[in-house]
Amino acid sequence: MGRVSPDWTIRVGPIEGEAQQASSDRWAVLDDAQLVRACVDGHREAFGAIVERHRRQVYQLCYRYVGTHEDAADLAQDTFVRAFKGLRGFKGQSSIATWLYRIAVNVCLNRLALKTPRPEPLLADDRPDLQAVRPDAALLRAERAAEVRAAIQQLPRKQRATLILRVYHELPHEEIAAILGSSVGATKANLFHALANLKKLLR
Amino acid sequence: MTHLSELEIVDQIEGALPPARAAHIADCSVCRAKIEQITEALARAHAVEIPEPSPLFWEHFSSRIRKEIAEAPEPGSSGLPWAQTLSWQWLAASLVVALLLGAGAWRLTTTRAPDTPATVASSAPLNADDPSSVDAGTDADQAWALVQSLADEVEWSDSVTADLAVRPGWVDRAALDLTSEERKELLRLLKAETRM
Repeated sequence: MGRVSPDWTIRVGPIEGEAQQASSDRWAVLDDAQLVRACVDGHREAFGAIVERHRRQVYQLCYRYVGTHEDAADLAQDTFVRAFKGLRGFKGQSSIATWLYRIAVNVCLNRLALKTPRPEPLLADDRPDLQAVRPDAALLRAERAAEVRAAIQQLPRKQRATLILRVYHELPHEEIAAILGSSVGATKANLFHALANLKKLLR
Repeated sequence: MTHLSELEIVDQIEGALPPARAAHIADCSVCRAKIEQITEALARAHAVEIPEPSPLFWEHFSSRIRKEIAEAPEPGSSGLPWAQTLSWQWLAASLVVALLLGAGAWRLTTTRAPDTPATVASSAPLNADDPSSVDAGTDADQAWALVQSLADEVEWSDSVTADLAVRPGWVDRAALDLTSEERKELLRLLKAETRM
C-alpha cells in the first residue's frame, strides 16, 4: 500500500498571534522610561506597549477636541506615529503621558487649522425624538452630553485645549502651560473664559 | 475690597484661593454669581463621558500603528536616507556652493563698480573686451583658487545626490532675479566666454 501524503503541513513554532502576544508580554512589564530607551535602542516593537498603555487617553483627548470617532482615531494614530519618530527628543522631563498630550494637542491644532471640524450634530437626526420616545434618564444624559461636547467644540482652540487638559485629563496648570506654550496665568484665564463661554453656549 | 479676578475665580473653584481673598466672596454678590456660573459650567463639563470604542477598534488601532512604525525610520533620524550617509559630502558641497556664490557676488560687485577700490590687492583689473583678462583676474585671486580646488574635489554624482545640481528653470529664475546692471554684467561675461 503506497503512502498517502496529506495536502497540509504541520508547522512547528508559535503562530503569529502567539508570537505577537509573547512579544507584547515581554515589553508590558517595563515602565515608560525603559520602553522609550528600548525603542531608541532599536527595539521598535517596544513602542507597542507605550501605545497600549496610553492609546485610550490620547484617543479621548482627540475625541474631545474634534468630536467624531473617525477624526479622533486618525489624530490619535498620527500622534503615536509622530511620537515614535520624535522619540529621541523625549528627555524624560515630563511624563510620557504629558509628552503625548503635547503632541496630540499640536496634531489637533494643526488639523483644525487645515480643515473645518465636523462638529457632533447637536440637533441632528440622531437626537432622540422626545415626543415619540419617553425620555428616560439615560437618554437625557446622552442628549445633554452631546450638547456639552458640541459646545466644547465651538470654543476657541486654546480655551478648548485648556478645558480638555484640565477638566478631563486633570493636568496641573503648569503642565498645560508648558504644552500650550503659555504662562500659568494665561492658562487659568483660558480656563475661566472656556467655562464662561461654555455656560453661555449651553443656555 | 476689589472683586475677584478671573484667575482668582479659577483658584476658588479649584479650592486654591487664599482665605484672605475668599473672605470677600461672602460679602460680594457679583463675585458669588460669577463663581456660581463657572462652577455650574464645570459641573456640566465634568458630567460628560465619551463613547467607548469597541475592543475590536483598539486591536485595529494598535495594528495600524504597528504597521506604520514598522515602515518608519529609526526614532530621531530625519527619515531621509541620504542625510546620514552623505552628511560630509553635503557639508563639503554646501561650503563650495557658498564660496562660489560669495566669489561670484564679489566679482560682480568689483567689476560693476570700477571706482570701488579692489578688496584683494592681487586682483588684476578686468577688461570686458579682453577674455584673457578674466582668467588673469581669477587666476591671481587666492579666494577663487580655493573655490576651484574645493570644487575639483566634489564629484558630480555627489552634487546631484545632494540636490545641488541645476534643475530646469533655475537659470531662468535666477536671471529674472538679477538687476539690470547685473544682467548687463552677465551678458558681458557670457560674451567673453563665447569668444574664448
